[in-house]
Amino acid sequence: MHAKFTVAAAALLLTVAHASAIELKVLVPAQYSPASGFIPGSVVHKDLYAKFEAQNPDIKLNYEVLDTGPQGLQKILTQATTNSLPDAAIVDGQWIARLVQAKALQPLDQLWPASDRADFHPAVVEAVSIDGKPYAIMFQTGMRGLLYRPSVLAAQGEKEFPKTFDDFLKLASKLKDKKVVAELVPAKATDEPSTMHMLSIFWGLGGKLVDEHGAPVFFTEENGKALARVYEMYRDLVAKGAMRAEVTTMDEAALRPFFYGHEVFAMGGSSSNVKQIWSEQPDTVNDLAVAAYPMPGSGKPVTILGGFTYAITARDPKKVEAAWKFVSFMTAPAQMGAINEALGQLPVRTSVWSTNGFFSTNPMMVSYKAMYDGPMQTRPVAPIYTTISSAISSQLPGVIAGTLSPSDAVNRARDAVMVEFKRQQSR
Amino acid sequence: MQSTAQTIPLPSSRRRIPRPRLPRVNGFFFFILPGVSFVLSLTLFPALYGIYISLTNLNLGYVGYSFVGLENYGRLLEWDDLGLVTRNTLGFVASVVVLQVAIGLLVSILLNQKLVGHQVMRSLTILPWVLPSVVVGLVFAQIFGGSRLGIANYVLSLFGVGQMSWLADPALAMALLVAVSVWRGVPFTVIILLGGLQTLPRELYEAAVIDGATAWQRFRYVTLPLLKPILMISLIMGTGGALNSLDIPLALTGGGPGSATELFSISLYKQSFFHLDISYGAAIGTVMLVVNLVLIVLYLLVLQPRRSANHD
Repeated sequence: MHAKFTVAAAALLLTVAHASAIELKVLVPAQYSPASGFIPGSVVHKDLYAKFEAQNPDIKLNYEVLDTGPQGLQKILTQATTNSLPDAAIVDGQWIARLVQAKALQPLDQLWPASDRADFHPAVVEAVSIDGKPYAIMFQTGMRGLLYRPSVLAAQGEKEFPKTFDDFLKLASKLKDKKVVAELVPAKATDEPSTMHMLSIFWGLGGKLVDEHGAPVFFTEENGKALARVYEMYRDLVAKGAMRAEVTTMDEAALRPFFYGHEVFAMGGSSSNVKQIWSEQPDTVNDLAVAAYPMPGSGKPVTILGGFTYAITARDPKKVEAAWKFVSFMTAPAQMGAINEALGQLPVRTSVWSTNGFFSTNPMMVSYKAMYDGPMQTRPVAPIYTTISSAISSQLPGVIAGTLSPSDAVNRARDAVMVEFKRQQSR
Repeated sequence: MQSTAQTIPLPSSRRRIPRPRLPRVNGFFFFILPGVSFVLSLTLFPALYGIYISLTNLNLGYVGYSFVGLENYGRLLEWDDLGLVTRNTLGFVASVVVLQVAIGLLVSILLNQKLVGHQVMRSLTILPWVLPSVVVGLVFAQIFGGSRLGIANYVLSLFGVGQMSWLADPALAMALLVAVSVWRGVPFTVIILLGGLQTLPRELYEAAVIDGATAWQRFRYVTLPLLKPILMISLIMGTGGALNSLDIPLALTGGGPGSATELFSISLYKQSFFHLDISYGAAIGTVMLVVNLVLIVLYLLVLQPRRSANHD
């Protein structure tokens, strides 16, 4: 009889506890959730969500899928204006400035211990900070570079990927004789990856997109020259048959058939797609490498850093506390490593690079680590960035087609951005 | 004392008790109410609200918005690509409508003949219309991919023809966009025109044959005049469809290469959902609405059967 009462009481307590549990509404892109269409991604998130709920019985996770494109940003901004924000969200790093401007994100400076921040590359923390306050925690990054087959390089009698633009053009000439295009890099207008590929070279040439106040400066003197030089490089690559003009219609995914069909030697791609490439084209598992962009003269490209981040959008202190438990759990080294490995995306914690077997031993990942340890920069955390990105990539088709000179392309991009910048300032 | 009280006769059970009069409402009002409500709430209100939004500075990147008058229309007039996008849109709409109606008319006349297998042919002709237009755009993007793995290039390679950059060439990309849109739209025109052709009285054709009219003369002087109202519907719907078309252009070319195939509909989409500049997108939408209305009025003026001046 006594035992029955105990069981009943326990059941009642459990029911009450469950009923009084905090329901944490989380907005997440499908690929970073249990709803992921990529099975390993789904499995790892299901496991981690279950583990978190087991460790925190007072918190019940309720996730909703968010688009990773502009519609995702639009959704959160709309929620901010209608006071219907979730409690936590995974947001693209480049949205942070707009979301902070719309008062959608909570600062994490009081929650995120400095000791934990020290495990991240300084550029990673900078990428999520505004006025010195971090607003999110990045949990993965995608590095852009040129993916190629070392066997093709070796067949040309080359030992290593050309480091200078001139050397690359020489290699392109040899490849052209064999009817192989040297390089394809996405150059589609208003496509963010198009800009990201350009930025590595632009930054390597010393260019700056915005000043310390977030005002656009990419067109001024030396910056303008650097951008014009990048446009020139794209134009010259196409003019010399080292790249096809068709890149103006392509995003990263559209390049792959050319690479798979051995029509192109190197393609611009993200580290985040490496596992997919291995899976779609098994012969690349042992014949795929990554190289930094060949640069004019002795310049070195700057690796672009960008990725998705966990942020807190709750306003109620209790929800903020619960959301922080969730965010800190998902971004802890063990969990972050598991997610990164499952999805094949690069870690942003130094400890994960060294302790995770896949990232510390796989040759491809070791190459990425070398890039990670080199010069790395994030896209500016400024509200005008998306307009700049759209404006500079929109000029590529004109430059490549030869209807727009590189300097005119810079001026057109400037005109498009400054109109919007003035409007933003007036708001 | 004489009583002044008068006896008020009690109403008999057969007399009607006078009731307050309700305003007389015509019965048809209740019948049209659902339709009117639908049009007002889901068509007229959004259109008017869109015009209102175009007069504000609503941008989803910012909190709040205010009235800015015609500022968005001013921005539109100052837009660098306005000329290019206008030319693209006019060229696209004109090509699609003319080809769609011309091919549709030809096919519907053929299908109206009692040829062997005409029922099967009618079903097959409608097939492109059954496919969702986004799927049509994506499938043709796959067909005309520039890689040798692209289906069109693969087929060409079987005949020893080199690879073509179908969607990277501005003129070719626009031609393909028109061709795919026409391929998708012809069945709809066929359905409308075939329906119209089947209602034309046979006696007129028989009389024309007796009068010695050739096939061309029967088409020119019998079919075409009688089919005018139906053709007008096809033209209006085809023009509206082409002008507002977003799915196929976005999936096939996305406005590229560069802005070579950018239409107003794509600009509207990009401004509203990429740049989140809802008010500017609404301004573009309002201009498209006005163009639609102007074209419809023009069609009505040109194609409406003229009444004879002498009604006697």
